[in-house]
Amino acid sequence: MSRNRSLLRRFRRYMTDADAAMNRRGTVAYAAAGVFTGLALCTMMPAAIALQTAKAQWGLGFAAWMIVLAALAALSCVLDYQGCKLGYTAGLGYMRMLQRHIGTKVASLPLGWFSASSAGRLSRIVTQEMMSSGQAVAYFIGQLVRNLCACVVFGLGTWAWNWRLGLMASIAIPVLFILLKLGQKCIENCYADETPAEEALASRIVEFAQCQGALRACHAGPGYKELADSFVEAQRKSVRGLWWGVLGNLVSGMGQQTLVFAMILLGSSLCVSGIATPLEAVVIIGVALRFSTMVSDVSAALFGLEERRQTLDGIDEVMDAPEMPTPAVPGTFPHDASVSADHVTFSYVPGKPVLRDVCFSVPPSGMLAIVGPSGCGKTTVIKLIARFYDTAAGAMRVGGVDVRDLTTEELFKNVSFVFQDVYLFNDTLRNNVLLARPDASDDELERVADLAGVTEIVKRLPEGWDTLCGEGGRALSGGERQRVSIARALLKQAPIVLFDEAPSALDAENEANIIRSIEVLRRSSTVIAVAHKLETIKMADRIVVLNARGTVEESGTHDELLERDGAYANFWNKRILSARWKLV
Amino acid sequence: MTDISQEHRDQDRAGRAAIKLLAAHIKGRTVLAQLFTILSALLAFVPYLALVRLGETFIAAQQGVRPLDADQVSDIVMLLVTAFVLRLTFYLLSLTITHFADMRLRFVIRRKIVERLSRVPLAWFGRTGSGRIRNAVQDDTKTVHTVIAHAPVDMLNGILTPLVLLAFMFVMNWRLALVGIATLPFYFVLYGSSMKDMGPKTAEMNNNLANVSATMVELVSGIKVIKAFGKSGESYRNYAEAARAFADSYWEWCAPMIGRCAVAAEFVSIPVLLLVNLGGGALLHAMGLATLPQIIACTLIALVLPNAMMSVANITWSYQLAGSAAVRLVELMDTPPLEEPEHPHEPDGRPRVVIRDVSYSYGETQALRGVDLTLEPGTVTALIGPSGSGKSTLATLVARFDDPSQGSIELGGVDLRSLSPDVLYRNVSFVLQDAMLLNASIARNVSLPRPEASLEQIRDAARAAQIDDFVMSLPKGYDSVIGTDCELSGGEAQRLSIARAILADAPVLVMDEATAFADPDSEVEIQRALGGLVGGRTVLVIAHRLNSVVGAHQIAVMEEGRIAALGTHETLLDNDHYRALLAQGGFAPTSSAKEGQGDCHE
Repeated sequence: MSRNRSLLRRFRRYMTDADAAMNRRGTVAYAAAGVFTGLALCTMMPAAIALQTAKAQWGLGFAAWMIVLAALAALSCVLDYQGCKLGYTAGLGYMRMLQRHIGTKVASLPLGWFSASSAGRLSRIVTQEMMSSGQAVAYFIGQLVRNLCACVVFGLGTWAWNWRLGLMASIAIPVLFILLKLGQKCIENCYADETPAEEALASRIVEFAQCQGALRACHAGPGYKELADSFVEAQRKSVRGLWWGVLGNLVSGMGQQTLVFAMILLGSSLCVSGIATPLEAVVIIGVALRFSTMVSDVSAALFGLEERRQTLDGIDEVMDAPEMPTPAVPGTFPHDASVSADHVTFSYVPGKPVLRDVCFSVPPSGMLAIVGPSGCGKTTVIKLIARFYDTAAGAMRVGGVDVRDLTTEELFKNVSFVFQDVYLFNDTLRNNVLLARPDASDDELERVADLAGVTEIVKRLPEGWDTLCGEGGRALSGGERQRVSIARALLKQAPIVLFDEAPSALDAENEANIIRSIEVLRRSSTVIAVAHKLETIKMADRIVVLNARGTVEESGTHDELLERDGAYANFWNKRILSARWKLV
Repeated sequence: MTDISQEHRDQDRAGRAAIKLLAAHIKGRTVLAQLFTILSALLAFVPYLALVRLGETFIAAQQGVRPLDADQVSDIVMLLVTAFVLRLTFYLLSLTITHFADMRLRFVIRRKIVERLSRVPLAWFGRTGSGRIRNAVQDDTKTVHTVIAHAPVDMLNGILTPLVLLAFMFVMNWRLALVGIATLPFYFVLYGSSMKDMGPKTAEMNNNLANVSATMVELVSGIKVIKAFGKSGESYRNYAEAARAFADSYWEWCAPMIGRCAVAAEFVSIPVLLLVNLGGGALLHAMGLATLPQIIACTLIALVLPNAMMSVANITWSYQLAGSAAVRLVELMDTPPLEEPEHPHEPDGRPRVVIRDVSYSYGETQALRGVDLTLEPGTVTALIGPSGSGKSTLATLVARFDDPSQGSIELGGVDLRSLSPDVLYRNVSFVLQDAMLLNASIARNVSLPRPEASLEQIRDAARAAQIDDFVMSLPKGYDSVIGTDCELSGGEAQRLSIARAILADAPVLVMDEATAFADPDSEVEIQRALGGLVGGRTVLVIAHRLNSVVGAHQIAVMEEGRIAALGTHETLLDNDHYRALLAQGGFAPTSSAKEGQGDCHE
């Protein structure tokens, strides 16, 4: 399991070899610096006694001990400096490489991997999480290693001074550690209790904003019941969490103090009973003061590692996501502009197929309309053609070739699509259309803009073609964004066009543009449309009706299907009725 | 370059100001916590004092100056223990108070945001994504609350404790104290030089990071388009460029500091401090100017001093990081609200709406230019026109989604601005494209305008909205919680919002005709529901399909924020704009002749 691999080794996966080597050497340097620091602390006792008694301790006088200490200090400084320098350099390198790795990975993940939350998650990874894990690599882990080594060496050193002190330290360390862990658990408990209530409250506040119109119309102000309840609940949980937090601090604080007391009592009683010299006792007490801080610092850092591990788990999850298998035999090309589904079965969640055994075939320049109730997998069909996902059984074929045998470039050279959620870059309107074919002439641009209804948008906007579309295309309405997307498809002139029609008719003007554009598109391309509007459906020369189970219920031409008087005829008649509706 | 750093300096300053503003909410608690912190910090020296006393007592006994007095030893130990316990108690008290202050701040911020949200113009929500609000109440609040609540206390502790210890050292033995702090100047000079321009640099780093985030968001959100048009190279480059810019500037900032900081750290590393303090102490000891216990105490203090000071630097750093979050929060809390009348007027009871010379603009967009329109009681007025012509803006102004920049809208003879919100919304209801359902039971959602309504009344409204059968088919019926017990389709949600409007029974209704086509699976039902809602009210409808509103009492053709033509279907047939819209809509008046064949386009 990757969880069990050391944290540093997992971090090194994202470093260049040179940085990884630096990180390795840096960590070793830190560890050695820690050992020398621990030894330096150990010299306190013999040095102090040698100073006081002016007699040699363990064969060395005070001056000699100072020389030993100086040597240890020099070694520790040099190594620590090395560790710091190497660690930081490797850490900065890690940050740079992590951003690069994630970028490359994003470009090679299958489209189906992306969900609504992906953008937020990935941008967090390359910013906050990059920073926090970078800090961990740069110094946090190294310093932890150093302090841990110092602590252990110091702890062992106490045995050499006085076996009683050594025994006490050796017992105290695990006890203190457990107490600190207990305190930590209390604090975690505090968060576990608080977090869901906090999230619920945040959701309620967002809902309060989103439904503000309805709430205000219904005289429900900030005190409206659900929100007020959420506030009360979150506050209750917060207070409870707080007491857990206080308890946690109390437990760990007391643990630390108990260790100090015990060592002070030991020191003074050893002295009073004459077992230890007075100076030894003073040093023992001094050591207690210092040692407890060291142990709690190291523990806090160790507990902090858990958080880093979780961050890394999240990063690894992205980096380990399977990429689309690339074709075994490169250089396969579609034979023509036909599209067919060959017994296609697909499910998002194993065991719950969305499509079952779907078959159809569209000849070059043909137009297929896919209709059916919402949630029956219509959009999934065209997503499979564009290879957002791979089929579970059967195959989608483009020009007679399984889409899995085509490279991404080759597939998208032949296929373009117009989806409902149209994304525009925060670039000029012109560039957003031209992106389909950057070398298109102005005439061609004007022509597709006229056809798709982009010209009207250009006229409306103060800066025309040079208007920036805003993040995600916010400056434009949903209908307008779709027009831009249609203009792109028109400009690209791909042999196959996939079209996911919006189910609601936002405005008549848009509809007219869309219909005009499809008429043009189908003259030169094969069109597969998830269709809702009667006009679009009627344009198709073949219609596939899917049912709620995800199988093909009926297929044929419009007239044939009406003749059959089945699901399609029922659907059609209902739509006619609805289209004729009058409000007044 | 100077401009940029000036900008970063301003950003830094704005952040500090915002933090100060937020911190004012918990001033009292912070002061109390600081008081306990002072008490705790003042006791910091007592353990060392006890250590010295104990050592001196022991040594005096050993040297035979005084016999060892067990009582005295236990007194000193007690002093030590008491000081420890008191210090811990004060510290925990201060920590607990700050935690409570921290919690209070969190809730104050959220309540303030909620309070403001309930008063800003409804039009503001259309322009502001809910993502911004979620960020504010979740992430930004989280970022600032710990910093604002804990920083003043931690800061005080970080400064006061070392000062107390230093003072103790000087009082006890000023020569030893000087040895104890001998290495600190080197550390401060080296470390301080790297701290220069920290604020602006942090702001610059934040901006670079924001860039990385924005390009990543664009790369991910646009991934479909990017792949489909073979643009992975380009978008990837934008991101890679932003990432490189960040890494380069961060490297430029950090690289020169690494060596300096590493050297600086050695001046306060344990072995060096031990060497200097024991060595220096030994010299003073040899001259008879220091006792051994003093040396040991000073050495121990010298070891803890740098850590305490380092924590101050860390606090400064997190303070800067919280600045931008605080600015965003303050901005949100200061969004200008709609003015509420001090002395509200009552409308005359007739649901007559008069729109007088109304202009409206937001940002640089002039959405309406001098619109005049009167809605007579009980009539239906349809607004038609191309997208962006101002239909929705005009319609929502009638429900006071915002106030006109110029002109006025009157209901029953009273300007909307002089009506209390209660009276306004008792008279005006709206059904727009967003059904606005709460994560609450269906009954609660429908009865929102009349919480006292009985289940039978709720069901009557639902029946009229063609949704009662569906609700009754759910296992929990009207008690089903939306989003928890059941997921609704667009059409079902829409019909519930229509039921709500039916129950509200306001004489004036603003509606969007697109709701009728919200869900192809249940259009017929929604349409029937809308039919039930419209009857007898003064209706202003934003129309997209002319066909649905040809029977309206008046049709206003909108063009670039103006009413280009006004009349009934018959009188408008001569109008060019109207005929163009008719042709475009695909529902020419002659279509009725062809309806028999089920043909819907011209």
